[in-house]
Amino acid sequence: MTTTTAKIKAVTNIKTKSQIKFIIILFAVLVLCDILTAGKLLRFGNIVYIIAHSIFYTFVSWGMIFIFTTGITDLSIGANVILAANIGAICAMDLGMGYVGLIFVTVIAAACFELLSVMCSIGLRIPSWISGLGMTLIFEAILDIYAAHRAVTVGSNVITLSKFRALGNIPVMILFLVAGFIVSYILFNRTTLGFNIAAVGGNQEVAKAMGIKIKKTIITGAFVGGLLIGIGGLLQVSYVGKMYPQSGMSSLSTIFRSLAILLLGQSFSNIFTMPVSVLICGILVNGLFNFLTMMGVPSGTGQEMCLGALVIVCGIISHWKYRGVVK
Amino acid sequence: MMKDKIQIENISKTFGNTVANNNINLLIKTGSVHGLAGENGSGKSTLASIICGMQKSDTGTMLKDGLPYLPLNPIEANDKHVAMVVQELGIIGMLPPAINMFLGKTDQFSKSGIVNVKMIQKAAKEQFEKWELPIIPLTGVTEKLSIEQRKILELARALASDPDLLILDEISQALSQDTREALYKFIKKFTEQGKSILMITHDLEEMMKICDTISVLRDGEVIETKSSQQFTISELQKIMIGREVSGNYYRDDHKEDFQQDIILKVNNLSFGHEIENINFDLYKGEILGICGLSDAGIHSVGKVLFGLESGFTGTITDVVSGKNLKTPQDVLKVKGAYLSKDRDADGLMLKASVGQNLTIPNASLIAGPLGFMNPKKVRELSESARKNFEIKCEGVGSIIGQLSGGNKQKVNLSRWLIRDLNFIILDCPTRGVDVGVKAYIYGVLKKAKKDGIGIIMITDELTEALGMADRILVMREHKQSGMLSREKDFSAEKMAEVML
Repeated sequence: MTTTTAKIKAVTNIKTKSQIKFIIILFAVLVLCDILTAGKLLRFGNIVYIIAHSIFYTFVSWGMIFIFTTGITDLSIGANVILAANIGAICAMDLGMGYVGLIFVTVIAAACFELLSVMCSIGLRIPSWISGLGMTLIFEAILDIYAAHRAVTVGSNVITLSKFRALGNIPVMILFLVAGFIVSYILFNRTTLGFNIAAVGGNQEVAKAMGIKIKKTIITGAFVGGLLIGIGGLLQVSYVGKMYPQSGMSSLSTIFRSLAILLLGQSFSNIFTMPVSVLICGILVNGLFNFLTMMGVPSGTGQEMCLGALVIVCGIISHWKYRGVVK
Repeated sequence: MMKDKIQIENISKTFGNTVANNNINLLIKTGSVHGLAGENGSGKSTLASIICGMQKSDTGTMLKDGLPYLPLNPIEANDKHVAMVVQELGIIGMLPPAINMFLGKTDQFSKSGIVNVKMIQKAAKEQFEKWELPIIPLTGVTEKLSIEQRKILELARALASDPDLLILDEISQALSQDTREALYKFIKKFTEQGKSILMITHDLEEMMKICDTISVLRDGEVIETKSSQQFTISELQKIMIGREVSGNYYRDDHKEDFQQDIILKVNNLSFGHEIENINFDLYKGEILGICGLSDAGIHSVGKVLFGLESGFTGTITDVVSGKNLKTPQDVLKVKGAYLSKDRDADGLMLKASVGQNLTIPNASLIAGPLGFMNPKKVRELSESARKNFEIKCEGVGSIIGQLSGGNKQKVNLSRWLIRDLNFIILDCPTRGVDVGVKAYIYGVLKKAKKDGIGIIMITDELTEALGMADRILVMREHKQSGMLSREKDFSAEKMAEVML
């Protein structure tokens, strides 16, 4: 065996050991939590419930990987997903396009809105968080205007999916989750786009010198991210039946849990690749909320506080051996 | 007779009012190593970046293998078999080394859009084996590699584009002696295959040893091109700088010359697998060199001594105060300082001004009782440092990232030396600086020594250690393998004996 092969194996072994260690710790924590909830947490039905609740946030987080890794901080994702899901629902219900309208319009609309937001930042050369906030207000306002009109004409400002909700059923959603995981894993770790996204986020000058087209990479990443976010919106509107219009940038709160998942995922990116990390953390975060509810911790205050603490604790653990200043 | 690999005619390049290259004419022969000598800011890197397509010249033409050659970007240059290893590190830390090697070319390993990572690893491994490069890990994230390993990775990445003209810009400065030897072996093998190298290095001995032909640049112009055998080092220095370099810039004496007061006592210092059981005393006015082969752990010693690494065992004691030093704050409090090896990444705030870089570490010296900084005092401190340390810049408001390597290093060093110091730890203080700045830095160190400052000089350059140190602590495989004295043991043979 050559020295190179030996070194490759050594590095792989270290990673595998970390993964095993992580899984053992996670398992131990889950068992402990299960005991604390008198065996309710790890019941099959409850596990399915946790996974079902995590799907929307996980898809949005997967989408964020392709957008945020390039250095774009788009805050319009929440407004985007609400607007796209509502347009899809309108197409399905009001325009009689059924599943075709619901699926394609939601997903394509989310991808286009994402592109619009990112291109606004690139084209106008303004920081992405500024363009994101601007687009948030615009997306929210568009839906609000429609909702006001709808309230007058139909009597309700929210469109409800009273049919075409098959995608919100449990086995279908799980299948989407598995497919979404495979697609995002391959796209991020096994395609030129994934490598280029990492390169652009790592060092744009170097990426440019390597012949990578920066704008093309950011825009393609945003489109792929938008598609994944759109699928998240599609599954959420199918599962819940409606997504309420929001105003005054309150749609930002829609993506807070996804952001927390992404941050947690980054904490474990030394052990797992990002799409895997996000999947695990998506289920973990929703599992945490489920556990806290069972323990009687009030939602909105105590639960959010615990989530914040979890993000900090995971950040500490993941940078335990890092000596410099964590940025 | 050797043919021309590349012919450069009347290349000029300006940046605003600054003339970087002025009417450059150069011939690089097939199968030869062509050296480019010159002070910092003489236009070497600009010329190299024009050849490899990173910049466009304002005027002039180039012929490669007899055909017109005008690359618009590095990829076009790669396609025409020209590659470059740049002076500053240019890799993506979060990607694996093997992916970094083929970044921008991963499509050639993909089928139906899916990249075969194993194939990339195999191709990367083949490059290392083909050119017998020092082995580095090819998986995991690149940011975990040492500077030396990253430089080797950059070389491997350049080689992955199958160049027949390879430009090496200051590559050896980051390498230790044994890795340099491996680099020289590679260069020989490369040129034996009829491929050419354009080499930029401030190490003139290395240039004389490796290059067939040397061109000297000064103020953006080629002053002289001759066979390396026709140059002497002093002549080369004189042409580069435009004046005689007075005497030998190293020390003239051959005796240990320091006071008997101990400043720093290091006992049984160990840090993980990086360093094991290091012991030494640092005396007032002593220059203590620390040398070793690559991966011997010498650079970790500097970091541990300054308190940048926690979790070490053993003691670092400031004898004057009797305190054990554990953190950078502890070291600064007892008038210690540290200059890191990676100036741009760890030392300077590249986007800040020269003045900010000079004053921020010294804020406590000029702050008033309530912590307010008097702008006049700030200006005076930075202006006086600029003047005293001969930092060439338009003013203290200049952004430091735009300065040459030598001037950056002057700022890096001077901001510590303007303080009242007891000791300073220098990790490769002359890395990436030209002979003029090198002579200047040695002059500053000699003065600091005379003023009673204890200096720990960690260096990859044996000649530097032999030229400047009173004693040299030699490390081998992370352990202390010897302590050599200037009077008795300073010879390359003795060094090799304890180092190998």
